[in-house]
Amino acid sequence: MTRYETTFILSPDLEEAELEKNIERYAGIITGRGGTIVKHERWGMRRLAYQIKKKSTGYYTHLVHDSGPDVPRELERQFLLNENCLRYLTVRAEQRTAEVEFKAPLGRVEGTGFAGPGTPSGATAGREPDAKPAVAQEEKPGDWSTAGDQDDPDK
Amino acid sequence: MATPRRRRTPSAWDKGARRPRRYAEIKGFEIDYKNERLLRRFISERGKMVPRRITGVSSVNQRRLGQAIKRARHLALLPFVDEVYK
Repeated sequence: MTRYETTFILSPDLEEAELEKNIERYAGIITGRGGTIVKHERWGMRRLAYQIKKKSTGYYTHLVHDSGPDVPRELERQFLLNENCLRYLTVRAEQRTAEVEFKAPLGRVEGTGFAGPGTPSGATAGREPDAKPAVAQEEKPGDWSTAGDQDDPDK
Repeated sequence: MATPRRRRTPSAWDKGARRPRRYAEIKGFEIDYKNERLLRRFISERGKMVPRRITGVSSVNQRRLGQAIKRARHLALLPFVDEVYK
């Protein structure tokens, strides 16, 4: 069993019920093959940074799951078959990934529907003793400006 | 006593180039493709990754950033190219 993070973008043209059906299907692929879904996160409708298949928004779903190697393979196959799937990405993840919360000013981009806060951190404390806590103490007030400080995603 | 041989040509740093201000200290922040807010600080207005010599992050972290930015781009969280208007 490996921990994976799968994120996929569904077409904004889908109706609510269809959207739900699609997501359920992918979740079903994971559980149907002995995987466990650790975290099921909906980022919701978001603006895309660039158009994909002529669409400029998409419905994001993010799944963290523990699965065998056949699951990502099958997911990929299904994503490719599904015309309503604009994009997908599966990566192997660290164990603590489900608990990680991005530090306050960095996690959430306003108005994009990013899930942001709400995940209780430390839910599985002690599983990884050497894992550093996700949040560091000090706030860095440094000047970031030259790197292009734009929080506006649809510029 | 042989004089010590020079091992490499001096880099710009050796010649006294100014090191970047370490404004890009990212200690304590999660470098992750989902952390859009963080990654945005390391791309230019055009959407290009900002080189290490400007940001001053360690090479390890720069590699992580690069990876994260590429993943974020794939998911259309970040642009490959952002046209600069006006």
